[in-house]
Amino acid sequence: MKKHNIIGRFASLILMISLFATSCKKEEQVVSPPLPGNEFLTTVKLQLVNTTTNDTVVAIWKDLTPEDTNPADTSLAVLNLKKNSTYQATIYLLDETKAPVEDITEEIKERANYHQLFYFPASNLGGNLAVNLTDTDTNSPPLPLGVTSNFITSNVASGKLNVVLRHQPNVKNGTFAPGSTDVDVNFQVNVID
Amino acid sequence: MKQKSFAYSVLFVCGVVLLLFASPKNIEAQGCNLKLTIHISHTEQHSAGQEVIFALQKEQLQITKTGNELLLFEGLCAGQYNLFSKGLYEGVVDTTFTISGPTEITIQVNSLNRKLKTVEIHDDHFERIGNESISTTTLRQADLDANAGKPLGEMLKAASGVNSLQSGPTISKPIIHGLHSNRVLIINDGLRLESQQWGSEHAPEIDPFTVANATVLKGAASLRYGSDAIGGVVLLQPHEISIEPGTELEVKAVGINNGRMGALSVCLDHTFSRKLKGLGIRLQGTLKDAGNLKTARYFLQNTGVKEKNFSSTLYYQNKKLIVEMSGAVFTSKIGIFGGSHAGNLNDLLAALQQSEPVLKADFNRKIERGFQDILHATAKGRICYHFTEVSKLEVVYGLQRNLRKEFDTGLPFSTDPAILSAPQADYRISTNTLEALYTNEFKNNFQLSTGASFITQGNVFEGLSYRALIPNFRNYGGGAFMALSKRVKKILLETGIRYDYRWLRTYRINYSTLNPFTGDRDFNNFTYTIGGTYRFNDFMSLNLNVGSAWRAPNVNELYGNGVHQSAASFEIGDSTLKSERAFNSAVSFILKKEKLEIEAGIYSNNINNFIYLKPLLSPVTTIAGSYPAFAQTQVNAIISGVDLDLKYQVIPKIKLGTKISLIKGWNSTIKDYLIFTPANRAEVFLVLEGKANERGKKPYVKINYLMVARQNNVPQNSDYTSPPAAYQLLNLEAASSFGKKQPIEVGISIYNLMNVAYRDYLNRFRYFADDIGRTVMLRITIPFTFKKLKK
Repeated sequence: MKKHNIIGRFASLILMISLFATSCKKEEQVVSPPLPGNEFLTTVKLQLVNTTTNDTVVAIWKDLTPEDTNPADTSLAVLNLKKNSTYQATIYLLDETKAPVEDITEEIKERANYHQLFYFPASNLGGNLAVNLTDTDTNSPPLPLGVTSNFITSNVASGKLNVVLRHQPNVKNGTFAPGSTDVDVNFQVNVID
Repeated sequence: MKQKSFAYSVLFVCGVVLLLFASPKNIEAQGCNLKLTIHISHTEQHSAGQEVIFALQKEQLQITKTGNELLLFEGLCAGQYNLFSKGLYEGVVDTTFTISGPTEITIQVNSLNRKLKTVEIHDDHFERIGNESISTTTLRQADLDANAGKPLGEMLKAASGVNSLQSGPTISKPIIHGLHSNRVLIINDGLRLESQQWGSEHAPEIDPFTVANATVLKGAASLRYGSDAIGGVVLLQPHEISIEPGTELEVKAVGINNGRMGALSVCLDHTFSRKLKGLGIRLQGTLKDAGNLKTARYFLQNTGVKEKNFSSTLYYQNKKLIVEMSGAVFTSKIGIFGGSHAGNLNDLLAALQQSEPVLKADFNRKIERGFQDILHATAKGRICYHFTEVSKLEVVYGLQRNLRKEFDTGLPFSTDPAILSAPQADYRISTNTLEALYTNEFKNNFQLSTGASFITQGNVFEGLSYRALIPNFRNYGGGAFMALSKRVKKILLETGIRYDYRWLRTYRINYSTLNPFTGDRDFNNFTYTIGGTYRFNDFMSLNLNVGSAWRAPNVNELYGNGVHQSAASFEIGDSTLKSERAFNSAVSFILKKEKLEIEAGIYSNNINNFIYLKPLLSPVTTIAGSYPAFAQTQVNAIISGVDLDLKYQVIPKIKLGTKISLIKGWNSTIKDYLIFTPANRAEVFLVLEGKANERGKKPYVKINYLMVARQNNVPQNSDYTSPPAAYQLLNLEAASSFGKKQPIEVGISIYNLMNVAYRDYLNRFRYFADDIGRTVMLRITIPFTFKKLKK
């Protein structure tokens, strides 16, 4: 008698579990699109203003299909700069999958103590392009951030400029090594007459 | 003094289902090929010549065996037996029990003058029909205890032929004969573990403290357990709830200096008496907390672990019926070593240039961002009904829900607090399984085992990444199998066939239009095996097994696309992949004598359409830089090797042993080696055993020297750096039991005694940091027993 009682309870438990299991079965049929509040890095825009002529030069590197094997659009990732000039540069990191476009640079500035931008002119530019960072974070002493900078050109030359955003939570020390890379893109730089 | 008190008795008889081979010795009856192994733990050292004699009687038939520590009764028919002791322990044991399968029992004899009247032993969890000729290693409580506190995958390495795939020191999963993840099934307490096993950094969600017994089936053992097990099966069993009325409480505490880990596991069993006779309940829980681990030279930042596990079981047993209901919740939070986050290939290459991580750390218990948060809940119901002594039907239902949240090192770019606290990847998978198994024994020594199983699984992925790493899916699967075995004199022959069908529907969206779409795939195929065992005599046998098994491609192999952060690689799925088909053949030789034990095996596993990540020539460039690309590709592969286990008692109390595993993985399509094949390894050990104590436990000290060779057989252009150097580790372990009335068991293990700085080829974090340094583990186990034993 005891036995039947136990079997009965057991059977009803199984039934309950199965009902519970089937009731939430459709969950997988709803595929969540990218969350609206989350921002993706799609675009790196460099905006340079010539300090003497006030000419503005803009270069854009973009990949509108993030996390994908499709190649990036680098057709506009070219900076044509006058020789022996100084440019005030600002970098914009954008999410162009959104409308309107989201500016992620604001969040980088908010978390300035965790980030640093690095600009590496390639060796074939032969030192004819120098980049000096002009902004800092709130560390004590302050460390460079790199959202704004000065681009200083000398003679005619051509080569790549590598721009890297390092993510360095709690380990930022002004050097490249700690942390990991969030952005690593190349711009073609032509220093011209 | 020793002679004075023959009022020894059996305190504790535990039926553990295990066998290495079953074979006939005295084939007097028909349909009889079961084996009973009795291990005897003596209270006191007895002088030579005073051997223990046990007699096993069934009706008119009486078999007597003499031995010192190990007695084997073979060629037994299923049924009820009377077991009694003669000679030294005359009159001590006199018990009746039922044998329905290969059975192993341990009898601990002590002088507490208690007598056990009846014991029933059922073998319900573990059917070996059709699997008996497969090479097998079983780890028992003592083997597992010596590695207490380690991840499960590391504990299983004590079995020869088993390695582990690690992602840092705290995430480990077993590799059997070079295969892992979806190619190895883990059956925990009768249920197939279903989670996101495809991921190399997804460790099995099992509380190692619940495991009393781990059996590794090496080779294609899919017949009984469903498709996919082309590498092998790991069977994990808890210890059985005693059928004697009373209460048992076991408290196990483990402390480890490295990571300052503390773990406490408590297991309470109560078996009711009188009206509720046969009903037992178990409540079990484990807490574990560890901080940053240390290598030989430095701490590893953010490598803490927190685990909270709970399980409960309700168990009812009478002569014919067993009903079991259980529920378990496993939760863990595992820190991911901060230095292992590579933003892109340049980051990884920079890390490889460093002799130690740039990221410095001290000891810290706090787990920071860069962690996994896992919950695995299991509900199980099992009914087993014995129609006769030799036939039974078992039905098992299981529900598993696995929630895995992975938080990356970096906060997402957002101002929305909900996004900032959300995991980068959030996997939810629910699995329902139903399985029925019927076994019977017929005339002419025929044994039959047949069964069917059903599975359905739903997976949901949400996360902050732009694309789903793996798509949402629903799958249904069904399978049926039949296995037969027949004994002809010294030969046992077995064969079996299984059919499985799998249907998979994925739910995806087009990321440009955000329109949902679905895609269906289905797979079906046969698994078959044929094997034989030749038994030369009581203690020596030769096994041959040939089998074929298959595995459907996993959803990540079909549709997974994306960056693998710790490997800095971009992996590209292929939705047209076919099933893998393995042809496995193995020969093993087993010798088990008191002074000498040998297990030697040679195997070859030929896998057609073996799915692997093929390196592509051009890297994938994303805004975060470039990644080497790998595409899921099918080739033909051959994995072959040799395992040897040897243990020899040189003089009384001193045993010498060795374990050797040699393995070669070959990609026969491109005529090159297979990547991530375990390196050859060998260990030698020396065991000093003392006198058994009151409870029959022997104190021991074991010195183990492990040598792992450098893996020189690696394919070209598939890895970022050459494999790490060979290494040697010295390990020490010792255990003893104290206390007469209330025993306390104490064990100490020292891993990497010489504090060697080393890196292992199969640890994916070897790019970034050394493996762990000297680790001292102290374990205390206190079993409390509250029982009324009949005088």
